[in-house]
Formats: sequence, structure tokens, C-alpha cells
Amino acid sequence: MYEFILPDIGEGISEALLINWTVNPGDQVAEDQEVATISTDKVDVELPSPRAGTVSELCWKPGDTVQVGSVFMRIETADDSAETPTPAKVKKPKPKAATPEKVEKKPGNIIAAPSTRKLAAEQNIDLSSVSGSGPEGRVLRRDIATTTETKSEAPSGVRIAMAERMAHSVHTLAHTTMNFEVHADGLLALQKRLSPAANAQDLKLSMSVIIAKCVATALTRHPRFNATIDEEAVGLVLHNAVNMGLALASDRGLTVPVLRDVQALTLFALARHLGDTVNKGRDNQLQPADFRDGTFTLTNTGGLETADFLSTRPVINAPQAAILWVSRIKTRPRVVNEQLEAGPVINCSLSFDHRFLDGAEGVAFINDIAELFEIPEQALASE
Amino acid sequence: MPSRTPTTKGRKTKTREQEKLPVCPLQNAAANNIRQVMDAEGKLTGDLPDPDIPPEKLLHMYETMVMVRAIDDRGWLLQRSGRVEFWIPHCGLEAVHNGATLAYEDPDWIFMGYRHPGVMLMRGVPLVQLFAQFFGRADEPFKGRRLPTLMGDRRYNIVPMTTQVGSYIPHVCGAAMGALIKGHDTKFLAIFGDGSSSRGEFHSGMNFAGVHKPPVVFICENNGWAISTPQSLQTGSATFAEKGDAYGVRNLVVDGNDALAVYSVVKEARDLGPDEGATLIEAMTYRMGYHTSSDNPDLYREQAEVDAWAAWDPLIRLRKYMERKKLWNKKKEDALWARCKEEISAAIKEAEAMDFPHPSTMFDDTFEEMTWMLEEQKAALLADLEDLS
Amino acid sequence: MNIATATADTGTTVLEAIKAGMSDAMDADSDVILMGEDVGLAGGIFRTSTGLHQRFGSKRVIDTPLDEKGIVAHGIGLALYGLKPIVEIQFSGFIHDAFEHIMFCAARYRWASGGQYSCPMVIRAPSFGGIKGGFWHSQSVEAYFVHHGGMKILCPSTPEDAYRMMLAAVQDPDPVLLIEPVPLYRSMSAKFEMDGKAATIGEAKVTRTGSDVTVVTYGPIQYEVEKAAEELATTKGYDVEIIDLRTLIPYDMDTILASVKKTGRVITVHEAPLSMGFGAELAAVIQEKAFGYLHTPIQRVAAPDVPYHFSIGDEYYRPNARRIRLAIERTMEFEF
Ligand SMILES: Cc1ncc(C[n+]2csc(CCOP(=O)(O)OP(=O)(O)O)c2C)c(N)n1
Repeated sequence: MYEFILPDIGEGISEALLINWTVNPGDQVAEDQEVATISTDKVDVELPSPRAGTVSELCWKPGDTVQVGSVFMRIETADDSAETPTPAKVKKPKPKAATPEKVEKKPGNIIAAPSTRKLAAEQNIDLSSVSGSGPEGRVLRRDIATTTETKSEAPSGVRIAMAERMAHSVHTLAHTTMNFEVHADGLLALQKRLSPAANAQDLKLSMSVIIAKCVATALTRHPRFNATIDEEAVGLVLHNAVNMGLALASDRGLTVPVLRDVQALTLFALARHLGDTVNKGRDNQLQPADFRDGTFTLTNTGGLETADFLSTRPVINAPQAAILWVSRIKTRPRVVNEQLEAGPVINCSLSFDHRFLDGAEGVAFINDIAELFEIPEQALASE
Repeated sequence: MPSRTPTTKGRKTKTREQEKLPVCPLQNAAANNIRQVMDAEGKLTGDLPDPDIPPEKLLHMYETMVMVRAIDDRGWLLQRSGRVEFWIPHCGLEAVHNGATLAYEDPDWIFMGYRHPGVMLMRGVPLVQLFAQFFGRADEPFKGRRLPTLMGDRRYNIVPMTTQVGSYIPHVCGAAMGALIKGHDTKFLAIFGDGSSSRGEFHSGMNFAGVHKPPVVFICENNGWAISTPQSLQTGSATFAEKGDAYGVRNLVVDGNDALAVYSVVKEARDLGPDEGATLIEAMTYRMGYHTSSDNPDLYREQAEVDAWAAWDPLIRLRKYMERKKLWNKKKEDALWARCKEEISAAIKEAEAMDFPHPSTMFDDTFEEMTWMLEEQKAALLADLEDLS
Repeated sequence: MNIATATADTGTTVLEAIKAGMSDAMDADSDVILMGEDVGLAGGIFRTSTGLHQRFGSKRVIDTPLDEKGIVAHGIGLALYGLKPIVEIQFSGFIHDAFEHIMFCAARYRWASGGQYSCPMVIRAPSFGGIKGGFWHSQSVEAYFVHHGGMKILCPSTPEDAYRMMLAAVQDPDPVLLIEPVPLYRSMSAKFEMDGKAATIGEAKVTRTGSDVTVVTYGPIQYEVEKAAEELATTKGYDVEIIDLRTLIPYDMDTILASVKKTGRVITVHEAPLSMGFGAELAAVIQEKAFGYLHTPIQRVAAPDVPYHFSIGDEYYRPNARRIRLAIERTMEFEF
């Protein structure tokens, strides 16, 4: 079977209007016998048959617009050698390998990517003292990180990426941090009450989940904190969806996978989502897409703390505009009804970019977070 | 895209001075100062005598002219059915390049254009080589690198045209100056179109030729059109030939559909003595076909003009002349056409089965010895093609 | 926007947009004229000026002799006298005869006359491959014209850009080389309003946003870049940012730098030859202005330093999605 492909008859014709066929299915056609008239925007053309044989199919109707390169008609040919020609009959080439970048590693000859050099300079590291583990002894970012670590295992790319983002953020954003403390009885009570139901569904209702849900609710009330910075436009881009970066500490460094649409998820859905993400992170299965499009970051070092952390100065994950750190919930002295007592508290630090967000906005946001932490059921009830 | 009705596109409505029916200027050759041997019927009525070409050579020319016509018929269809990518028709122009080639000896150099396949065939290039070129296959002298019909072959002393029309006019002139300097008696022929005469290169070539008197015949093939541009928009002078006057270059106008006249004037010019220099010959003819397969002549010319020229078909005139001389008859004519068609079909079959060039060959011949730069680019390209099946 | 499937209801083709741009410019200003080989009754060999001769007459739509040098040089004369010529070079492969007049006359009159004279004119150069044109009809010549100032160079790749850039070119006080995308003439169409608004010269466009790697390109080859980016997004999750430069002179440094600082990885793609090509200039300036941001060597995807091959050029000479994809993969997989 020979497929007659509609040719480009005029250097850049992309389609043609079929005017009429001059053969019918079943007809014998000779090579070069006219089979159809087509019209292009350059010229009307009679198309001859490229092969002799029997017309087996006319693929279009008069009036149809046919794209150049599509099968126009099919012809049953007597000899099989007359198949449709391939665009270029090229035998598989026997390639030599492309010349790779060849660099000789000599003493004093440092090989490193510009951004790696920049990183080293920022950390005051003399690159000549670093032994490169990359091709041709190229110094990689992880080699630099190694020199700054006391641990002997090589730090991962995750840690390296983090390092650079943090440095950028600190140097560019006007960091302002507000520290606050909230009584955590409500959070603990909610966790206690809902945990059996969660467990029944094979879910672990961690405190992170409840806190994330509360913060997402606060963010929907304070959309200017659920925002990214547009450095060019010198302004904030506000987002409807709360895509919350959750800082996960692991032995590979801190990763911040993004949980999407947290405002729209139920507590249990969020728990499942977070569980999956943690597992993926542990198994090294997180994809680049899992780290994108964050609008706000929640960092919770609870699992790591032994000392009592009262505040930190979290570094904003630019281009996001704000970040919230929360401590582990612990029993500490607190004042209730004018009385000093021991009870569960959670310490928090909110950093935001003071170039775009002011103190009053920060206070209002914190007030809402505190209220939601005290009565977290509100987060479940709000739309 | 605007809606399109299935009609012939924008047939040109009457403009310019085309109120009366067009007349082929060859009809009044004497009045138009056009050198001619025979009339439309092949009768010896012109100002030039019968050159009395020996029958063998005459038949070779005629058979080649028929072959050339048959190639154009077939090449057009191959383009329309998508087997050849591009086509430059040459129907109606056979007398110019075949007559001129006949007037030259094989060691002479010819710089041909893109409408002159007869130059190749007259010198014995095998037909299949032409079709391999049309199909862009690897096994032809230019290795599939050039558009169909842009031919040449050093083994036959045929230099290919440059990409830009007319650029080669000074090249021919320079090559001929080279022969003069070296004391060789190689002669040179260049064929280019009327449109090409507008380029600076034409004027530069004529200027040098007038000064240095190299052994060149420049044929300006005036086929009426440069794409859609008629003579009246190409030049203000009455003929293209007379431009030679300004440069001190001998010149004349010949009936370009009269193979005998073309042969006669080219032969005479070729055989001029060493000090007599170059000749500019304007061959009056007509491009019966489209400019190229991408063209639509209905936009700019009248069918009546084409018809007027059809009566002066160079093949018919030469055939009638030969019939009068009892060298030819209907039987031979039919047999010749049948043979040409058969040979063409066989050549197509053979050429179409040939391989396309390998990508690595793109880099060859850029320099005599490949530079490291190209070596590296070639290796990179081939590595990229590695897992391509 | 729709590649290779332009039909009646998908809007205006690039070819029609160019024609509309010329037509609107000629309507708006009677000093604007069009001049070139076969631009009159034939409407140009690509039909980009169909109907203009009938509308504006042979004083404003001029069929010239076959003489590129003459076309540009006479255009210069017209411009000196205050007209605004649009001159068409039939294929950019034939522009070189006019090189002296473009680079050393049109682009220099202003400077060399102490600012007294200028040559506001538009030189149209249909360019690029993919139409089986070989080295006659598929050349990319921009690199020859970027070596010194005096002339702006625009390269539209959408119908809307074609229309607005034509208007911008005509309105510009300096000579403008308009590099037209032949392979898109008929194959690409889009709907937009032909409202007479001119494009801003010198503005690039991020046609696809991404965070992993920046591809800087221009001309029809960018649609091959798009294919490669699309494929890599699904197969490898790479997030490719594509910048259509649109203006080569003066190019949009800010857009390039903003992107490079974000991604740290750069690839330039054009279909002109590699060496000393526009990509080389971009690579140079990016390392000058954003050195510390670069994670990987800047890669260039381009045609080899040889002429455009006729029979296999479209497949193997012109860069394609496959070669661009491989370059992106190499860049992404480079450890830093
Ligand atoms: C310098 C240059 N400009 C434009 C073209 C495009 N072009 C190809 S053939 C042609 C017309 C040539 O006319 P003419 O010299 O009379 O030869 P003809 O085609 O009529 O045989 C043109 C303009 C070209 N090849 N070279």
C-alpha cells in the first residue's frame, strides 16, 4: 500500500483546499496521472499520482482543507518496493563521542562552577583547600559543605540548595521577627479527642497537622501574608491557595516540600497528605514539583528540641513574604487568671519582609494565629 | 486565512499596453534587429546563412533538446506529486543552451544557470546523474546539497551557478582573464537571465571584459520575465545587448528559439581572435512555464502572450528544418520521444532508490582539510544522533 | 496560537499580519512606500503584499529591477529625502549584495553626519529554514548584521508580533532590519486585534516560565524549544523557562538576567551557525553580568558552521526539539 502524502508544492504551503478528485476508488491509475485538483493560497494545482496502481482510498472530500504532510490518498501498488518514502533514508550513523570539556587538574588550578565559587566566597572558604569530587576533580557544592561540616558524611544537594536560598533571602529581604507565646491546652485537647478516629483510619494526627490547619485558616484571613514577592514590580503577589511549605528536618538537611491547597483540605486529608509527603521525603522520592509554588512556610523544630526554645529568627523562604516558626509544646510557667501556674505552651516566631508588610499587619495576623491555636476547632469550622 | 473559492487565483486583468493581441517579436526579426536563420516553419528566411551543422552533431543537439523538454514535463509532475522538492522549468528555452553548448568544444568552460540541463547532457553527463541531483541524493557531484536543477560537473568543465543570480558573471570574466594570462586557448561561455543584468555584477563583468578582452561569450537569456518582472520594469534600454556598447563589448541580439541561429552567432563569437575579446549575446526567447514550482504566472501575465510564443517553439522549428533536409520524419520523432520517456523512467527508478547523504557529509568540503572547529561540531551532532534509529 | 494547523477560524496568519502591518502603516502615512522584486502584481513571491499594488498604486508599491544593492541603496535615498521606505529582500540569502549599503550607509548616516541625516527605513528579510530551501532559501543571516550599532533588528515569531513589529519598524527613527519567519508565514495563525498599536522595540517575552533552566531564543526555532520543554516537563519534571528575544538589537538584558539569576542555567538556541553567532554574544554578556549565579556552563544550540544543506538540511542541519532536549538534559545533569 502506497500512501500519497500531500506535498508542500510551493515552499511553505501548509494546507490546501481539495477541489475535486479525478479518480474514484477502485480505478487504475498510472504514474503521473492526474488524480486531483487542489487550491493553495499561492496557486491552483493538479496533483499527479506518484505511483501506478489501484486507488484504494481517497482520504478527503472535495471542500476539505488538507494539511501538508497528511495522507492524501492510498494506492494499492503491484510491487512492494513502492512504499511511502521516508523523509531521509539515513543509515544509522556511527558516532564518535563528542569532545568533553577537558580540564587538567594541576596544583593551584581550581575547577568549579561560578555559583559554587560564589558560595565558597560567601562562606569564606578557600577553594584550593577543598578537594573536588566532581568530574576532572571539579569542586562541587557538596565538597564545600563538607568542609564546613564536622560530620564525615557528605552533605546532600538538598542542604546546598537551602544554603543558597537562605543567603539570598537574608541579604535581600528586610527581615522583621515577632515572637509570641500561646497556651496550648486547646491544641492538645483537640489532638486527644480526634486521634482515635484518625487512628481508625490508619492516620497519625500529629500536632504539625493541626497547627498547619490553624495557620492556613489564619492565612485566608490575612492574605497579604500568603504572598510572594515580585522583586521587579516591587510588590506582593497574593495567592488564593495556601500552598504551605513545611520544613522537614532530616539527616539530608532541611527540606521544604509544599502542601498544596491546605485551606481546602480537611484535617484528616491534610494528615494523610502530610504523611505521604514525609514518607516520600524519607525515601528520597520527592520530585522538583513537590517543592514548587509555596506561598508561606511553617517550620516546626519540635521533634528536635530538648532545650526550651523561646524564640528563633526564622529566615524567610524567598520569594515568599513570611514564615512562622513554632516550638514543641511543653510545660512552662504561665499566667492564667492572674495566677502563675505550670501548663502547656507553644512558642512562636513570625518573620516577614518589612518592605511590604508592616508591624500592625503582623500583630493582627499573630492575634488570629493565637486565637486559632487556643480554640483550634475554629479552623475546622471555618469555610 | 480568508475564505477561498476554487477558482484560478487572481488572473491578471488587463494593464499596461496589452490592449492588442500580443505578437511574438521573432515574427519581425529583421525589423527588430534579431539575428535569425529560419522562420517558424523551419524555412531559411533569416539574415544568417544555414550553418550546415554536420548531421551527426545536429541530431545530437535535437535529440538532447527533446530529452530536455521531456525532462521538464516529467520534473514538473514529480514536484507536484511530492517526489522532487522544487522544480525550475525550462520549457521553451532549449535552443539557447543546447545551441550554445554545441558551438563550444569540450575543454571549454561553461558557467550554466538553472534552466540549462542540456549543457550537461550535450557533454555526455549520464541522465541518472541529473535525476540523482533532482532527488537530492548523495551520489551526484554536489552530494545532494543544492536545489534541484542547480547543476554542474567539473569533469565536464561545467561550473555550477552561484546562489545569487548573475554573481558568476565576473567569475567567468576572471577565469577567462586567467586563461589569457596563462596563454591557454580555453574559451568561456556564461548563460544568465535578463533579470541578472540588473545586478552590479553584470556591469562589473562587462566593464572588465571591455578593458581586458577575455575570450568569453556572455549569453543573456531574455526569456521575457524575471519571475513577475517584465523587461519594461527591468531596464529602460530597448535591448539588453546594447548595454555592451557602453562598455566596449561587442554585442548582438539573436533569435533564442532558433537553435541554428544561436549556434551560428555563438560559434562565431567563440572563434574570435585573441584580441577581439568578449561578446554579449541577447537571446530572445520565452519562459513558457512557471518561474519555479512556487510561482503562479496567472498573477502577472496573459495567456495570449504565451500562446503567441508557442507558435515559435524551438523544437518544432528545428524538427521542420530537419524534415526539409530529409534528416528526420514522424517515425523517428515518435521513436525519439518514446525512448526519452523510457530512459527518464528508468533514470527516475534508479535515482530514487539511491541513498540520501549521511548527516556527517554536511561538514565535508567546507575546507579542503576540516578545521578542529568543524570536527568538534560534527562529533557533537553525530553524538546527538546516536540513539536515533 | 496554533502551529501547522492554521484554518479559517484560527485567525490571522503571520503572512496576513505582515501584510496588514504594511497596509495600516501605508494608510496612516502617505510617505510609507514598499519597494522590491515582484512585490507588485505578483504580491511578492510569498504573497505578503498581495493587493497592496492594487490599493496604493505603482508609485507606492514599486516593482524594482533584480538588484538588492540597488533596492536598499535607493531606499536610503528615499529615506534621506523624507520618505519611509519598506524595502523587501526576496530571501535573506540574497541580502548580502546590499551589505555595504545596509551596514556602512544606512546604519551610519546618522553618526557620520553628526546627527544631521538619518535613514529611517525598514529592510524586510524573509529568513529561516524548514521549507526545503537549501542555502538559497533557508538562510539565517542575522549574525552578519549585529556587529555594530546603527540599525535595529527585530524578529517576530507570532502573527501579533509580526503586525506590531512592522508598525514599530516603520515608526522607528532608525533603520530597522525585520527578520521575517518564512516557515511560520502560513503555518501559524492567531486571533488579535489589528488596532494600529506598535510593538515596543527591545522587549523580550518570557513565553514559558520555569525555574530550572533558561533558554534564550528567537525566531521559529523557539517552537522546537517549546516542544522539548514540554516533553521534559512530563518525562523528567524539568521546569524550563523560555525567552523569545523578539528584538536582537537592542536586546532585552533585564529579562535575560532576571531569568538567569533565578535558574542559574542557560542555553541559547538559534538556527544560524554556531560560531560567532548571536548565542555567543548572549553567553558572553550573561557571564559578564551574572557570573556568580551560573551553576553550569552556558550551552549553545545552533546549526553547524556550514551552508544549509538542501536534501537533509531540514532534518539534520537545522536544530530541532531533539537536539534542544539533549542540551537541556546535559545542562540539568551537570553537577555543580
Ligand atoms: C541576487 C538574487 N536575488 C534574487 C534571487 C531570487 N530569484 C531567483 S530567480 C530570480 C529571477 C531571475 O531572473 P532572470 O535572471 O531573468 O532569470 P530567469 O529566472 O528568468 O531565467 C530571482 C529574483 C536570486 N536568486 N538572487
